[in-house]
Amino acid sequence: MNIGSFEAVKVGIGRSVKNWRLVILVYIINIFFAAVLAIPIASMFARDVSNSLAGSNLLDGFNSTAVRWYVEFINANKTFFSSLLPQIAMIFLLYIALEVFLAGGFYSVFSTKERLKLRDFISKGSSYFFPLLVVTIMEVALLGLVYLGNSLWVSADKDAAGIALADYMVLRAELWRYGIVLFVSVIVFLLADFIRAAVVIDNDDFWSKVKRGLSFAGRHPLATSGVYLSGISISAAVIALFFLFRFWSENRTGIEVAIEIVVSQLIILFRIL
Amino acid sequence: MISLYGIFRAVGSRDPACKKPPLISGIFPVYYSVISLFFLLSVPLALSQPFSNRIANYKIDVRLDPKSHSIDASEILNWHNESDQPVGELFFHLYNNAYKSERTTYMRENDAEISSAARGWIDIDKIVDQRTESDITAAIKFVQPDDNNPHDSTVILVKLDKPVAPHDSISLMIYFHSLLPEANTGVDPYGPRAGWAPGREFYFVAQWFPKVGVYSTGSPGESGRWNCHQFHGFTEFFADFGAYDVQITVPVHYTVGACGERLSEDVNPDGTATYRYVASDVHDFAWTASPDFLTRSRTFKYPGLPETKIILMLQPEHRDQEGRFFADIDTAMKYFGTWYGPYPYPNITVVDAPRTTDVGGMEYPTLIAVDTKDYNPNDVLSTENVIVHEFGHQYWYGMVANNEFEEAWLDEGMNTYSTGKILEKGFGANTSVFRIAGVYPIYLYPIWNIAGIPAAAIIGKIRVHNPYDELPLYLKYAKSDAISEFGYNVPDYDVYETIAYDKPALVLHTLEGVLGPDVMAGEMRTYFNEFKFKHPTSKDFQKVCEQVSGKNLDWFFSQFIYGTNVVDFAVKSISYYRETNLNTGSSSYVTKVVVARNGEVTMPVDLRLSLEDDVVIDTVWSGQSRWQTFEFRTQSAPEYAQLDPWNKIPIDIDYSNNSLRVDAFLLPVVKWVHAILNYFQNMLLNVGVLV
Repeated sequence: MNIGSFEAVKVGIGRSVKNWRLVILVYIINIFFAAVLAIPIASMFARDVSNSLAGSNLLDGFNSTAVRWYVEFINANKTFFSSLLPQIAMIFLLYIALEVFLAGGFYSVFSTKERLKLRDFISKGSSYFFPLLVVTIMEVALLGLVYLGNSLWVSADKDAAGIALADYMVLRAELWRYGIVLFVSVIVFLLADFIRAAVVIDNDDFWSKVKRGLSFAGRHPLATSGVYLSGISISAAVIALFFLFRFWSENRTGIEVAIEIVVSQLIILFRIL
Repeated sequence: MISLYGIFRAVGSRDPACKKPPLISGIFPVYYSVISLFFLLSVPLALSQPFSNRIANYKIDVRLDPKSHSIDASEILNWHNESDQPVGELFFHLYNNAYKSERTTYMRENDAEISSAARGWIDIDKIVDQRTESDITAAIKFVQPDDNNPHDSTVILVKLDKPVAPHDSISLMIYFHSLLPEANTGVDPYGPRAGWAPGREFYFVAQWFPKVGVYSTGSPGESGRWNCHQFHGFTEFFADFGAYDVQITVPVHYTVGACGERLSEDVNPDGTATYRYVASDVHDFAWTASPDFLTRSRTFKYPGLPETKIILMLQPEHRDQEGRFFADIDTAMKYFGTWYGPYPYPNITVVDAPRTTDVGGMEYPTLIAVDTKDYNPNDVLSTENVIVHEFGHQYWYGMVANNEFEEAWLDEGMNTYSTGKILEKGFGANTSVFRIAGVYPIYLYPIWNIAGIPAAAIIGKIRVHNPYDELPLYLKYAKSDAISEFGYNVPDYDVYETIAYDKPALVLHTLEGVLGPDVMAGEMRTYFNEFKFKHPTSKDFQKVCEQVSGKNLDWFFSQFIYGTNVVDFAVKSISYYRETNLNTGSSSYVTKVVVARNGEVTMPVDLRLSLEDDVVIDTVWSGQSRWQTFEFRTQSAPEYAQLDPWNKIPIDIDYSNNSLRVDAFLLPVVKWVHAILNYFQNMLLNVGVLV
């Protein structure tokens, strides 16, 4: 387990490529769930614009006429959009459950240099589903506490001297606060990941594994932080590229639309990787 | 003049510790004769050529005590009875009493709470009728003409011993003191727009003195009546024009700004300084004081317009935005001046309020309170929006002084319309206050409703100007109430904003579409010039529109100003067939377009048929029937039919059904269906980070 952070990222990507079928599996699951969410909205959208001149405006990006269409579209279908919220929440929960299931398989994949068969992958996933679900619930609960603490902190600040601060001072204070929240969240993610790894790799009882995971994270703070920072940097760069691409893509031709679709999907694949 | 004022202060001012003024009955006759003489002499000297009828004239001496956030003042009101009947009672606004408790009409309508430390109020210590030298303080009676709320004390009635004869005047000497409210009480959407700023030495003093109501003379043969509404949750103000002469005493290290022009400043031996301001042909007076202001001034110059001194009072953290403030106010003055008429006052004071208060974004005659963000990229036009809008109120409210309680649309709606046009002209078409690198970052926003507000309302923050930024709120509350409804009669602020700001702006853009931009510009200019320094009503505006356009516009005003119906035109279907003439062998296309009126508003609308060879055929549908079929015979095949192709009717609530293609165009559908899919893919991956 003595491995540098960048080395860990390299090895992780290498093993993902080696098990590309699994990456494709995750991609298919992602696109399936997204499609379940998107199809009702998309079909309504298609019905609304396919024969309207609004479509041409939308093709040019969000100019003012497109904004106008958007405003009207949302307003005309507001009941429908509101009714979608429970459905969206349910799909997200299902997706998380499936991710938890897959996580068992993935940790097994990354703990061995061999390419894992799909049958083994699924078997590992089902073996570790409930312990990993418990870890995820604990993680979510812990994150919930962090954000609850933050909101209490914010309201306490506003009640006290915060309101008297000049705007830029408030902003500076907020930046600090969100920096701290982000840092604590990363620590929580980090701990949860090591606990998951310990759950899959070790054979002790659940709480021993939790302790082992925590102890490992404590003994190798730099390495573990490095892995996360590398991950965050890569994700941030990918997301930045995504938005830059979106800003650029004021499409006008079929080719440009096709390029946008391909690049967007490649970005999704890269994020999965 | 200074020495006379010194006498006035020596006799009339009070020991701050003693709230009741000393009654020096023995010298009253002499004293008031001197004061009256002074008043009559000094006010007309301020501006020799009156623009207005100067019905309500004030001479006020006020002292600010920062330790207690209070003011102590005396006021001489000279009020002229313009009517043909004697007036036996006067009504006054005591606006500051709106913040006295949570049970006032203002607080109840805002459903707001106010801590005891944040409250404010005004008390009248004494009123003396200078004609008879009689103390009429006992004749003060709190009244609630709008809602009978016994806890509201924002209006008083003062019964006079002797009525004011027709076309005669009365002078009242009023002593009062007031506790200023905290200018940020968390009241939604706005708390007190004046008061003190927490954590800063900043005072903005507005709606602060006993202010006489407006006596409506009525039609010939009718008796007059007082128009003096209580202070309501959403609505603003109404007052007569007059001349103000105000002496403001503050700690010596404070910088002072106020309506009008500063005539003098004197340092007093007690560590204070006294500033004298005069403002004529205005209907309100506000002032501000703070040791933190950075004061800058420049002169506005533009060919054909009078020079105006611009006084900018900046918060220190906004010093780097000085150039931007001046550029914005220049833009506003240039367009308002050239489009409607010259700004007649010698100066305009722009007060940059701390953003921890609700003071910014308010208008007063010759003084506007604005605000800005500390980090404010040039592409974010929020500062421009507020400065242009508040300056616009010098025209729509300041000079053309409608009753804001009853017909707020005449100032807010006209000003929103004007602001949109000026922002477009001054900062580019389709500009936005939320634009990054020239792109509207729509992707950053969720695509569903948030707390019942369409995502469009978030886009509303984008404010794509002219006229689209008014749409989100209008769409939500399109049928909620008529523009003509009194502002304080509507259920909540969103409805008020809809009928006072957004719908009127859309209506005016639609009127421009109906009559043409040149006619509309002429109407606005004529309306301004005919009604500056007067109190016009909606009917006056309609009359001007009809005079200038030469058309009867009853159909327009009855539907859009006095009604709640909406516009929704749609192309229901388009079909065609090819017809061959057997005799000549030539063929043509016969296209049938069915148009429908889904909304209740009836009005003419343009219909366009576009053909494949880029030829267009335009016609007009009267829009009276529920539907109608149009038949076109053309040499080439049709491509699409479109109602209102020039977007003359921006108030149409569904523009996407205004057009119909013969063949579906799927490229945008593919693009945006994928965008929606991709959005959810990314969202799921973001959630997947948890595992």
